[in-house]
Amino acid sequence: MKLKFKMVGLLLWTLVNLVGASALAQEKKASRLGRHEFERNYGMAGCGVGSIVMGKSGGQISASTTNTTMYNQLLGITFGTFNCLDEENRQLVHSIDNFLKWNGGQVASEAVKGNGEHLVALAQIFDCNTSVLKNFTQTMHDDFEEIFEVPVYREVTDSMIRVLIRDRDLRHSCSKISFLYSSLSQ
Amino acid sequence: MMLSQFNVRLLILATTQLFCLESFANARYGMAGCGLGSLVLGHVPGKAQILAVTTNNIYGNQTSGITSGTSNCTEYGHEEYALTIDYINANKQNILVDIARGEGEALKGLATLYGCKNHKSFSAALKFEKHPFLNAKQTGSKFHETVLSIMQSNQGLLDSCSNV
Repeated sequence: MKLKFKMVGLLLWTLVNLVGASALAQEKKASRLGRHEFERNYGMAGCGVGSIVMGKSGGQISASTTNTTMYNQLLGITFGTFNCLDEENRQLVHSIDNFLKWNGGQVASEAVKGNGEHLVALAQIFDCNTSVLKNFTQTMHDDFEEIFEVPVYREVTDSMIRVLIRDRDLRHSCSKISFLYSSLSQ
Repeated sequence: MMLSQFNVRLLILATTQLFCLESFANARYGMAGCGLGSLVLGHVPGKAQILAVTTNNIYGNQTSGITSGTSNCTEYGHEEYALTIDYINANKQNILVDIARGEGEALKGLATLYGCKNHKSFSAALKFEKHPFLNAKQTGSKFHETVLSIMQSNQGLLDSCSNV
């Protein structure tokens, strides 16, 4: 009986801590990133409450333990909460990751020049209107340093989306970008 | 009892599957994070990630993976320079021309990939005359290793380039 009380106490304690820490983390994140800025803010332990508390580079072991508490990671993936992306954005980010995995070098070398067929293909993944193609390749060229600052596929995908989403024309003429933008502003 | 037997079976299944899949799936982790689940399912999107969560939770394999750096649990792992090497492969001729000239966009791009804010000192360190062993016949990864060793012997670049 005593043990049960202790367990319940521990659980409550954890929950209170979680709520407090997550509010703090959200605040920190909000001050660092603008309201519409995109970033997959989870590390090796994946998304879930743990990722909200520990972030991308915090202690992933405790993030992992927290993610398994009360199935919050499962719920997050099902409902697109707790840093987990919803289905449509997940598909987009996954396609970009994969495209970069096989064509990342080509994309980078074309972004340096400011034109090329891999960039066109990338614009098609974002479902961009052909009218903004020039704008798309130009943005990839102009913001090369920001996009490729951490040259690892996952990070490049995130910073690429962050850069593209800033451009108003691209937001209007690339349906995937505008969808992502609208889900970020909620 | 039934449940634990089921778990063991699932674990065995997962372990056997991961050996077949890992070689061609080029597996990384998705939203479920790393762990055995990520080896089996990689970052396949959609509801597959739920299965990955369940698999990652079996016997705390995610936690032990993070501790020991196995089961896809490395932050970037061997992929750390993969994009840089791809870039070199796609752009080697231009990079070599730029190295010889001491400037150019392809070289500037390479400097960015190595995290060098100061493009000029990067270009200067790679100047052709000093390093005749940089050539077009080298594979991307050999080329990368050469550039890396040049950078590592240059204290100024070591300090200013974040990805070395």
